[in-house]
Amino acid sequence: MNIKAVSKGSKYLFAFGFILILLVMGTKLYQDKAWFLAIFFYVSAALIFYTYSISKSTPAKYLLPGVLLLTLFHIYPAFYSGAVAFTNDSNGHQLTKDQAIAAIVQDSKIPIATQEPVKYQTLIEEGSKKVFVLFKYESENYWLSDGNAIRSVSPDPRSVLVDGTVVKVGGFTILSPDQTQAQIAVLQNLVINLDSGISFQPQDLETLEVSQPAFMYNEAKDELINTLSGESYEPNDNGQMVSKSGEVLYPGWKANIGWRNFSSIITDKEIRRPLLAVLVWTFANAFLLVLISFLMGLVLALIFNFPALRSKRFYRTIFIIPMAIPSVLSLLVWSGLFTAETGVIDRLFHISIPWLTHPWWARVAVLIVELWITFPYMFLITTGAIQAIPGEILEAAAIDGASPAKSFTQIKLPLVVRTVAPLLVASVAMALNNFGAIYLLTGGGPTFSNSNGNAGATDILISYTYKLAFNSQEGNNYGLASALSILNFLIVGLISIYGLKKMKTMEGIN
Amino acid sequence: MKLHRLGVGLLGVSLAFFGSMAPAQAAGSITVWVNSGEEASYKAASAAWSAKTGVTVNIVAKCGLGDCGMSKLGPAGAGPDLFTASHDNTGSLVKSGVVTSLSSVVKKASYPSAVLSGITFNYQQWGIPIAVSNIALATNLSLVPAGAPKTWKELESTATSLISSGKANVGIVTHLDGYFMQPFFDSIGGYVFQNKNGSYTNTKQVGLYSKSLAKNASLMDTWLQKKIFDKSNTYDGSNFTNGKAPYSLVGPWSIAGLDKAGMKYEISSIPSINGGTARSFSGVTAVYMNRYAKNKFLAKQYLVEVVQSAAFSKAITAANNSYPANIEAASSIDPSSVAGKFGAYGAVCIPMPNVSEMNQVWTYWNNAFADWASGKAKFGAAMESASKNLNKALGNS
Repeated sequence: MNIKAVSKGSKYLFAFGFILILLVMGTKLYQDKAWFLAIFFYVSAALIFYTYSISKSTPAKYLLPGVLLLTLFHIYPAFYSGAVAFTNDSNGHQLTKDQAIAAIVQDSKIPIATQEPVKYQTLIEEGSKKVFVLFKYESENYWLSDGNAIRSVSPDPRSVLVDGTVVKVGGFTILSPDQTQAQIAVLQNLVINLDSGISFQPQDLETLEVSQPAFMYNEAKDELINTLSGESYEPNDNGQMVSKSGEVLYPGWKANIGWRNFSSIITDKEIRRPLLAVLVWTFANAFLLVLISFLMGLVLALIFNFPALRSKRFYRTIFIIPMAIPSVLSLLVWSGLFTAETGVIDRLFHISIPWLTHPWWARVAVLIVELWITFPYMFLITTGAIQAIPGEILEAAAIDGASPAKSFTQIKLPLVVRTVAPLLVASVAMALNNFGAIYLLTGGGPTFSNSNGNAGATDILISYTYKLAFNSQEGNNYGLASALSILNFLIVGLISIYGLKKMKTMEGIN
Repeated sequence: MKLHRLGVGLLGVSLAFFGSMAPAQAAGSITVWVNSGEEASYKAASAAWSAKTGVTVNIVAKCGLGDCGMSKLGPAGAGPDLFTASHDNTGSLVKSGVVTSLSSVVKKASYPSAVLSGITFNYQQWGIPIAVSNIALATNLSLVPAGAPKTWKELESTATSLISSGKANVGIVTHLDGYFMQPFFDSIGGYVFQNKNGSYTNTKQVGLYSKSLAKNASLMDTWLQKKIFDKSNTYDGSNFTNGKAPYSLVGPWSIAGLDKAGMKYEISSIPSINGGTARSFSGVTAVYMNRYAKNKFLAKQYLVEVVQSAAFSKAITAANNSYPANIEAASSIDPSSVAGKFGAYGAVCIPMPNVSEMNQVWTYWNNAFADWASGKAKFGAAMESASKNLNKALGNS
């Protein structure tokens, strides 16, 4: 077989298969009403088809996958989080307003016992093809309704059987049991209300459940009325129905609450108090980690620079191990080693430090483990930086009479720092968001006993935000968590920008 | 051009694909989400009904301790028709509006009143109970040949003598949190919310620092110091299986591990310090119906014909060592079996409160236990501050 043809054919096959997958996913998302994502997948498929069907090489061919992935996994979630941050999205506020009101009304149903079950028949209106239900209740006439409009009909006595079944209604087709089965999806969600307040709901394919909801919703006035107590409930600004006396009805709905999530960070004491401590520790942790690990790496790199040091390869292998082991595994093992009294560390050194249960010792433990994981990286980059220093400069310095110490501080150190500065800035940015190390080692550390969101002594902003959002015991407060994640983004972004700007001034050192 | 031909071919294939896009669930099927590891028993218990009615029952293992993520998935239409959850989620599930009332389906006479109270909220029933599970005391018969302790004094003296002779590291192996420590909490007079005839709707009165508990709080400090409880709070189950602890608090989920370690153990009730039995929390596993289910009629039929039956309750609980909630199924359990012993103790246990305020209770209560275990505060002081903070959080003070 011609290699060229095979490779070209398989290239086409792969490309078109990929585009097909994108189109299928887009359609599935469209069916699930995820509009942005559906459009995104369709547009991506079109762009990929267009870009890669051109034979000549364009920059777009290299940039397109990165741009698409950036949009999907960074830009879209950022804007989505931004949108959520302005809502009260949390447990108890997941429904839409209509769903919430329907749920309150439905849950307040008081069943009405009837002597015989109320049977119904399913009809299809001939013009509009809508599903209607025909039944008889406490009157000589029949009721005909599709859930929205209801009217009373009296069919021709000749088309009514002895048991009450109607065989012919003008303008409608009466469905057989099999045809009724096909309309299950509509029948399940049908609710028919009489003006008197009595509500009917199909409970299977033949009978209706009769009940009287205690709550009635007045759509014009946008209020719920409790027919038993006469109390009226109106929506408040937090997506709930409240009465004048302050009684709140559940469930609530997702409502736009504007800047309240952001302002509550400052005004709500329950959120502000732990948040301040968490922020301080976030910065302290990041800066201490980068500073100390950089120094450790630098010292080791300098020691390694001595030509007289033997078995360099052996040491180098040991030093790379912390970086080579997947950090998830090593963190879980470390959290076991740090167990108070019975853990390996306490037993080995015959000490009795409550590592993970005492706030300050927990912070020390976290720093120790983070340093253990980070110093090999610093060691590598400083080694590279030191070896990149041209030998002539050091010889010239030695000839000029500079002592080793002076040669280090005046020449080596500035050159190394200048080289690794971008990496240090990136390390600080990553350390500010070092979720894994905190969450897997201490779960956020010994919790502050007065904190509402379960903030702890070793919590950094991102782990605190995670617990707010996904710890269902705290009510899954996605709105507040989104606001905090925007805050997190601003902090990390600003620090990174500042750091990069500062680096530019270092370019002057030569 | 070749490309254009291929493009047209692709278009044709895609159209065929989209045309055959069937709706997500075919008619005549229901989806049930169950606890991980239990799919097999649910599938077996539903097989006969499924064959008789022709309805496909899709059992998916997606649930754990919480509410299966229903509060977000249900309204979005991504939830199942039925799902299992522990009854203490009832309050928050109802408040989220994601479950349908099953008052017209539940046959009240089939279940004990304590079990019914677990799934009752706002005077309506929301779940069909299947199993009751609670913790109990396991005694290591190799360390304590005399068997399970009948009084607290016996437990305390056996534990301390074993610890002082070096044969044991700790007295009772247990988590030091609200759920596990509840029997000891209860026996010294503490409570979470007042239990009135099985309902916990009075959240205005928090008993974390009741008068009786304040008086007896120092006992807990003594026991911690005597190593009856392990202050490292790591629940090192190996202490029990390796014979380094005479007692442990275990649930039905731990039995498989004990059997695998080849231990000789006895399950019994937990003695109270004032004589009598200390009451643990019992948890009822129930099946709930998604308000936004896609197959409401079939799901209801499944609930009525399958889930409510005694045979179903018996089959599910036999597979996971818990005790059936259905009275008829429970009557056929051998009282001397492990499940029978759990059930006998469970009969005197109190159901966990199912109000949604429990979320905040666990936070402050567990923090207080952690502070006490780490030595940061004495038991009384820790519970007092937890009680104060909880009252503030609930708006009681």
